[in-house]
Amino acid sequence: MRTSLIETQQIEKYIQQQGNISERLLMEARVQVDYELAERVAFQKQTYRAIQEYGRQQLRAEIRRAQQKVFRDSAYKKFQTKIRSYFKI
Amino acid sequence: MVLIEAPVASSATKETLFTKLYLDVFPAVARLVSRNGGSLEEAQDIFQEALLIYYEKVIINNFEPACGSTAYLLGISRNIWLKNREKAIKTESLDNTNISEDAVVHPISEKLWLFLQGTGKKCMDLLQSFYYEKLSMKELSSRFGFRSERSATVQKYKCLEKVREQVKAKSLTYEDFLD
Repeated sequence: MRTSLIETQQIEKYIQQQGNISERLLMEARVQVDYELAERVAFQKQTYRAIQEYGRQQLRAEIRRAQQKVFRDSAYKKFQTKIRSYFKI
Repeated sequence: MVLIEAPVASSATKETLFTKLYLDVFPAVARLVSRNGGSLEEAQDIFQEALLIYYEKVIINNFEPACGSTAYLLGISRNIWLKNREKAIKTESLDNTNISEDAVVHPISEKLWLFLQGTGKKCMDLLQSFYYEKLSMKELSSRFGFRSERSATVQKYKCLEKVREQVKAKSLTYEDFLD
């Protein structure tokens, strides 16, 4: 892997608190003195949050597709009638 | 009760799972909501959110509910419904100073989001499979057609780096303060 990717991997281990104590202390020290590295750590944290959010959105879209199917597809007519009967005034 | 093996769920198996859960569990949720004067749309919103939580806990994180999957999903739905009702009561009262949780958890700017869903989509699909769906490198390799787990690992870090640079480029720009 190229150097920057190795660093990205090291940042990941640091954020997820993996690796042995000496590796973590070394990274902690580097982050303290290297402003650009500290910035990359912060942006990588944000990236993980964005990935979580993206994953959820994808899942929501799949749930909506299933919902559309059971409420529109004629194969589920019985289900649709049952549900609608609950909401009739 | 659950049809698929966690956590390798392709889109097709996910659809099968969600469809089955709609047919098996949604009627009970709909009845609960209707009996309490709620609408069909309300019941659907609650169930969508419940399915999301259910999927994250049971399929992604391998949680085995002691009460069984159906009762568990019903329980989550009931909790969301109760929470929504509490929120509605609070909103009606004079004390309206609470900041909604949703407003706080969204740190992603509109521009970044457009990138993530557009040109960054391929990378995001790969990254979310690993970090959100928690697939193993082996599963990731087969889903995305990598020759080896090693090349999947390299690609994962390349993507992570690419997205991180975009997060940087698209955060805290002057325009964000004008949005």
